[in-house]
Amino acid sequence: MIDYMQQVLRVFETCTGWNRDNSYENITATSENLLNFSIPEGLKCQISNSSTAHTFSTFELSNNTVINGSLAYLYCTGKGVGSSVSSSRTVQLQDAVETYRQIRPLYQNREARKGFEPCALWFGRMYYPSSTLEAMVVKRLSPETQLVAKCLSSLAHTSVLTLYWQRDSGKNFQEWVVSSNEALVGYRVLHNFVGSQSKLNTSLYNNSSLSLGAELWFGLLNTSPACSTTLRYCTHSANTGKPLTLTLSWNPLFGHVSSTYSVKTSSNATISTKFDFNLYSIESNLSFGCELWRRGASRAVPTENAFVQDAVRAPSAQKRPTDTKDMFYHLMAGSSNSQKLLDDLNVTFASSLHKINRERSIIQKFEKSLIDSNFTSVCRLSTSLRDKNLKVQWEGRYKGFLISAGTELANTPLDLPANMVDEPKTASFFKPAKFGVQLQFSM
Amino acid sequence: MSFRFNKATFEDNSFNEQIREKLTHALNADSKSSTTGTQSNSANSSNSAATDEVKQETKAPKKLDILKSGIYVRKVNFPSIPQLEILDLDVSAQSKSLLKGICKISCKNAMLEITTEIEANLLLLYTNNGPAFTTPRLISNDSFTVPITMTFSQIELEAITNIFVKNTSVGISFNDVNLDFDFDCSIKLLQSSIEKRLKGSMETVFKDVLPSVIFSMSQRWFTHGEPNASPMDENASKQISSHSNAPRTILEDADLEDLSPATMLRLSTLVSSRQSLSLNPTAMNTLSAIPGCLERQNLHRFNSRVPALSNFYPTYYDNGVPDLKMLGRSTSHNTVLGGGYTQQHNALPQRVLDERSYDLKTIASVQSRIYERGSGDNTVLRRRKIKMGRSKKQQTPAPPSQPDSALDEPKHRDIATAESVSLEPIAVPTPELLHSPRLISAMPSVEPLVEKRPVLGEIPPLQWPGQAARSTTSARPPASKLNLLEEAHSLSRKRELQKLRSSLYSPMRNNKFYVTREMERPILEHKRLSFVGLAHGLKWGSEEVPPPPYGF
Repeated sequence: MIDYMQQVLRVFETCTGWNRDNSYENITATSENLLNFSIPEGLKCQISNSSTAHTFSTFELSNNTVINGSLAYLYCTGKGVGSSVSSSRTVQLQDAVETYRQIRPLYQNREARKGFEPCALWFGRMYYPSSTLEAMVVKRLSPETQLVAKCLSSLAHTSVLTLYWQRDSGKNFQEWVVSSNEALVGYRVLHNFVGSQSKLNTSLYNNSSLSLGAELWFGLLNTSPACSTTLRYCTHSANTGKPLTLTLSWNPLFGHVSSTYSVKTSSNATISTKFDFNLYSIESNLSFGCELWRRGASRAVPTENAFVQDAVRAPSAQKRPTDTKDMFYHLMAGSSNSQKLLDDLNVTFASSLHKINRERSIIQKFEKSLIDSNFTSVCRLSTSLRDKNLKVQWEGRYKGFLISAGTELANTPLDLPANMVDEPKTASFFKPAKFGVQLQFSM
Repeated sequence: MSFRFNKATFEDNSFNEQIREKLTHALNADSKSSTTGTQSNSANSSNSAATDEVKQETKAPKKLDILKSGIYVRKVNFPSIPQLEILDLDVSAQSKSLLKGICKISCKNAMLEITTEIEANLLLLYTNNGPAFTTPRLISNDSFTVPITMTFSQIELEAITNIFVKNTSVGISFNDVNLDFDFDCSIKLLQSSIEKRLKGSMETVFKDVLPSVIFSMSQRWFTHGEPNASPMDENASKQISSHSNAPRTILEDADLEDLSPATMLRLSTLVSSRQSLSLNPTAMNTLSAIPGCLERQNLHRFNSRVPALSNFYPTYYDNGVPDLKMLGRSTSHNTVLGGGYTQQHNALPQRVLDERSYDLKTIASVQSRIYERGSGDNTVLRRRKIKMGRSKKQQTPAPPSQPDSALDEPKHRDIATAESVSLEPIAVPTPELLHSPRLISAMPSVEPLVEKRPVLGEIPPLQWPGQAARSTTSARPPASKLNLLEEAHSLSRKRELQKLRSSLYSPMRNNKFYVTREMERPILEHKRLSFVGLAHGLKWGSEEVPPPPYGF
């Protein structure tokens, strides 16, 4: 379940044309969402409201061993944020929960950067009774850069300030991170390989993207380094239009290799597997996660039919230039007679163009069906071979409330320190290590 | 106040095993309690002290635990016994503390090997412990555990300690510690830094950690465990508890009244020797350093020298095998237990009787010695009237294996109950006249007896028949008195004994009853402790074997 404030932040990012998925931090977001989803602890109630178009507030009460709560305010400048944030009654469930991240190819993100104006977001959250303050400022400096400052101040804890300077040029993404905690300094970079249609694929229509990223960290106070590099490949199955994501991560310092494979097998089922292997200690781990969506009463049946008809009608030479323009811009780019050439090509390779159209229509149909389907709940399951645990979570909407309930069944209680893990090994059956319900309501 | 330093605990490998278990337990216990964050508890060993150092250095808000598994002590080897030298001892320092002393502890050539698993990915620990809000998420930042083995060899420890024993606990402080060891770590990269930190943290270990650990541990002993159990004889106290169902003789008030002044003096001498910790009597080959007093360890040897028929034929005496086995330096099991003392029967072994290998002359001398010992004391001999008919069964404390059928046979009856035969004359006015003819007439065909007949006649006839009867009963008093004395020590926690102890202590303080050489001699002469050396040669004869040297 994504917090309301997090939702607002994401809406703010989309409204200002910032692509969240194009960062190294989120390069494995899909598999993380499916395998390591967070389970609420105790009972947690959250009531949120958008008082004006620019201000948002959240009140939270949780009962985890003791009753505590928090109060959060958010103010942001920028157009359209207030109208884009939807209440818990109307929000699409796939936007309100962490799920499969659909990576869109590079060339599809280019138009969003138009009409940029500097804007900012201020966020503050006060926890009580511990009097911990969280603060965050997000400032869009230019169409390509963003500065994020996160701060935590508390009595019990040392205050921490973390600064992120991010630059996203579409093709490349760079980020410098400085944190006062352990004096951590980090650099992250992500490069998107050119994802034009015909370069990598025999198929003329190509919806895939290939990204390579790396990160370097160094804690100055404890002199402990960390680094990793990750390759991500996202594509759609050409026949069925199902999206799939593959990542391969490698930590050269500790010899850790992990590969993930996530696929949306149908519009209401997602499966992810992850295989970890350590080159030095030859330890391995296999994780498996899946989620199942349940539809409510469908409200988008007519448009779907229309689209199907549209796809059927496509070969009948009814070219819609607006649609195909972005698909063939690389062919059209250049001289004025390219249009003529294209017409010739269309005549010559009518069958292949027909194929492009059909592939595209299948993919678009699938995406549209995802958007249109009125999901009401999602069930998640995740297990890991080495940790010997089973995580179950149910998230859904009930009478305008977004509810997230989950439990973790583990062989060993998780709250024990790691030193004792080897002692109660005899317990062979699963015990619930964590259980929680989260209620969220926003207007 | 007495304590026992059970040296035997250190002599076999069980001591090392015990240390290994305790150390493993302690190390893992502290990691369990590390959540409470008591640093004094945690750094029992140098290993966790090192991790504490790491924790302190990072100044992390939460304690970081780089240990991924429990700490296992793989090997412990103390090849030599740790030496404990008592430099100074103040018994009655204050009313609060029972004992105050200065000890020198030295331990040489020891070896210790510790194995554990540590988390190599330190940044993971920091990011996991940091607040989630401000901590950036790292990709592929999984844990990486590395097993680590640390070997401490050639440990040489020399320390001067102050020990305070109080009613509730033991306090100890280390004053002058010299510790030296070779350190070997399986991860060579970390070896120098760990060694440096270890040496740095040794001071806190000896200044704070060890004293507090010992203090808290001793508090547990004093409140829950055996009241006078010391760390050294925990093994012994275990055995006590396991044998607690065995019957025991408890010292009564009436027993104390019966104690003669001479016995009291001996007791106080013994106590004074304990107080001054001159534990010479525990040395080998000396029966007793203090005249008239016998250490528990030497009780078996003493018993073996007590004149009794069973001692005279040790090779034949099947039932005496356990006694003979326990000769010499007895273990804690024997010294503590009241039941360790086994009563000796003044009877010939069955085998001797079967093989007729006895010698009547020696039997006679044994019985006479028994009488001499018994009558030498101030106690008035009570004459026992024994009827002829049942005396045979009553007065022969036959070995348990001896069947009753032996009495049925006329031949065996007369021989087997050689001493009981001697009882008969009590009722008869002229015993020596009646006795010898009867023996001859009873078994004229027995050749060994015939050969001994002339010898038999030379026995001082008037002495032994009557006294032999007494000797069977009077053989017990010295033994039972010793038993009493021993129980005074082993059952010292009993209430009744507090009286005795106070009565023993008070003369000591007043210097009234200080035992001097001049006082000892008459006691001994009066007692006439005449022990017969049985250990060498098993010779027992009319020739006067001088009593074994008493060592004074």
